[in-house]
This record gives sequence, C-alpha cells and structure tokens, in this order.
Amino acid sequence: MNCARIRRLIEAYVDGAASGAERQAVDEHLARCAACARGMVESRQVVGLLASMPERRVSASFEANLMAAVRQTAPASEGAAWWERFRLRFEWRLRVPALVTAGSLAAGVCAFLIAPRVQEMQQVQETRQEQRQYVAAVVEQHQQLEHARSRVDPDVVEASIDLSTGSVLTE
Amino acid sequence: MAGAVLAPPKPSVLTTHRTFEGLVQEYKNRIYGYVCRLTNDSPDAEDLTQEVFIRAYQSMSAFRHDAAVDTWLYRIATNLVIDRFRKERRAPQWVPVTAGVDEEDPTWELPSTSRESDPQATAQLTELQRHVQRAIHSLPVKLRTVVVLHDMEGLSYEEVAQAVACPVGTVKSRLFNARLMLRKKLQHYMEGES
Repeated sequence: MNCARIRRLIEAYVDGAASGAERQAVDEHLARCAACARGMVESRQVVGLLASMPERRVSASFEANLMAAVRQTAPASEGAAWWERFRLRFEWRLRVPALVTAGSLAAGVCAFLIAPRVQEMQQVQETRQEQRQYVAAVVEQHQQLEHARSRVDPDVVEASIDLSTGSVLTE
Repeated sequence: MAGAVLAPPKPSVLTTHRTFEGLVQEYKNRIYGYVCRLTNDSPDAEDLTQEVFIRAYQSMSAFRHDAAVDTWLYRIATNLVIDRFRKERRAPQWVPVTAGVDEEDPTWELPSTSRESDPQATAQLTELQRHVQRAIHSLPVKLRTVVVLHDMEGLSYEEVAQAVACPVGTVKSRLFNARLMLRKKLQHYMEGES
C-alpha cells in the first residue's frame, strides 16, 4: 500500500476501527516509513488533545428557564409529528430532488416573466421592418415620378403617380 | 405549576427517561458543550441549547428508536447551529477564543488532574486548550461538526453519520481532513508535547 492509503487507514487504526488485516498493513508500512510513523504519532496526539478538552456546564438557572419556556410551548400536533418523523429519516436523501425541483421552479418563473417581453420585442421589430419597407417604397415612387417628369414636356403631359401600385400615370 | 412534572405528548423517548426533566438533566451539559464547540463559545450557546430541548420536547412524538436519544439531540443541535450560521451568513465571530477562556468563568472547568496543584502547569494547559479551541473553530463547519462529535463527544462513525445526516464514508473523509488540518495548526504544540 502507498502512503496516501496508509494515512487514511491510520485514522481508523487510531480510532480502533481498523480490521486485523488493515492493522497489519499499517504496522508493516510504519516499520519502514518514518513520515507515516510520524503521522500516526501526530494523529494520536490530536485525538488526545481533543479528548482532554474541559467539559462545559450550563448555568444554574438553565433548567428552570428551560422548563418555564417549555411550559409555554404547546407540543407539536400529530400532523407536525409525522412530518418531523419524515424529515428526520429522509432529510439528506431529499436534498437533491428538492434542489432539482427548486431549479425547475426558478426556470419556470424566469420563462414566465421573460416570454411576454420577448414577444413584445418581436412585435416591435416587425413594426420597424414594415416601416422601413414603407419608407423605401415611398422613396422609390418619388424617384420614379422625378424620372418621368424629366423625360416629358411638363407643359404638354401631366403625370401622376398611383401610390397604391407605384405606377406612373400620364394623361 | 412550579415543580410539576411535564407530560410530553407521547412516551416514546421516555422508555429510558421517565420525564422530560430527566432527559434534560442527563444531556444538558453534553449538548451545551457541543453547541459551545461549534459556536466558539457564543454568548447565545445556552439559549441555543435551550432551543434544542424545546424542539426535542415538541417533536418527542416523532422520535423513534432508529437512533439513540443523544444522537437525536445532537442532530437537532447540529441543524439549529447550522441554521444560525446560515442566518449569520458567515461563521460566528461572537467571542474571540482568547477572551473566551476565563479561569473565573464557572462554565469553563479544567479537568481534574494533578496539574491543578501547579499554577504554571495549569496556565500552560489552559493556554494549550485555548489554541486547540481556536484550531477547532478555524475548521470549516462541516469538518468541525464531525470532529467535535467523534473526537470530543465520543460518538461512533455511524452515530455521527446519523447526527449530521450523511453517509459513514463522508464522516470518515471529513474526520481525516479535519484531523489533518488540526495537526498542521497544532504542530508546534505537539512537537513541544513530544
């Protein structure tokens, strides 16, 4: 076994949770690896330090205060009880589906809010396009009229333009 | 009403503890100690501990013997403290550890050892404990929760997994990382010890 694997086993070894084979593997490795042996010593020291930390004690008034608070608190209803039981049993397993559901809801809300705006923008663009086409048609008609006037004697021929078709009419 | 025995909704937990008061009596200091470790001796630690027992009282009927009573209480405490951290949006900075250890503070009790007779040794021990507490507080809350439950509260891997609602493999991994970080932070003191 390499050092990385042994270092993880050392923690189980220190906790007394390593199997016989694991303990043997650790012992054999430590006999020839000073770094891991040092790691074992340090791990034991850390565990020892943590275990030797002093206990904390609540104040003398804790219990009286708690009981006064509890007396003002109604026990949970049966409905809350089954929910609490469910939550305690499955809480961590429900996190992923809960996140997926929350994400889907968020996406739905975004779509609901954004979709009308997109439609509105499309309508504006279509209107602008129609306006551009109309202006282009008017300009073209104007040019045709100017061209027709330049080719005929204005005293003899009167020309007009049919705005609906864009054609030049002469009399 | 003073002195009256409280009757919880259902007697499921009370197969081992005849009254709610009995439950509080047995676990109040352990839960308080746990909350103190997680919150870096917050002045609110006692209020949080009280909230743990109130929630326990409210959900007693929901408790089934899938887990031990202490694991159940640790779980309530863990959820409560993590909720508090989320509300704070950061790890709590309520009380600096250097100011949190006061020999005149009755809640901070040194272990009964022969060192108590030696003021210098007691001072050294207290100083070391301050550094350990500071190192614990510097851990990410997920690692801190696991290392406190396992190495200080004495829960097994499986009990810790139940208390923090994650798989046993995750508990082992977090414990490994937590101890590694503590070794680095406390290296100077461990060299001094050895």
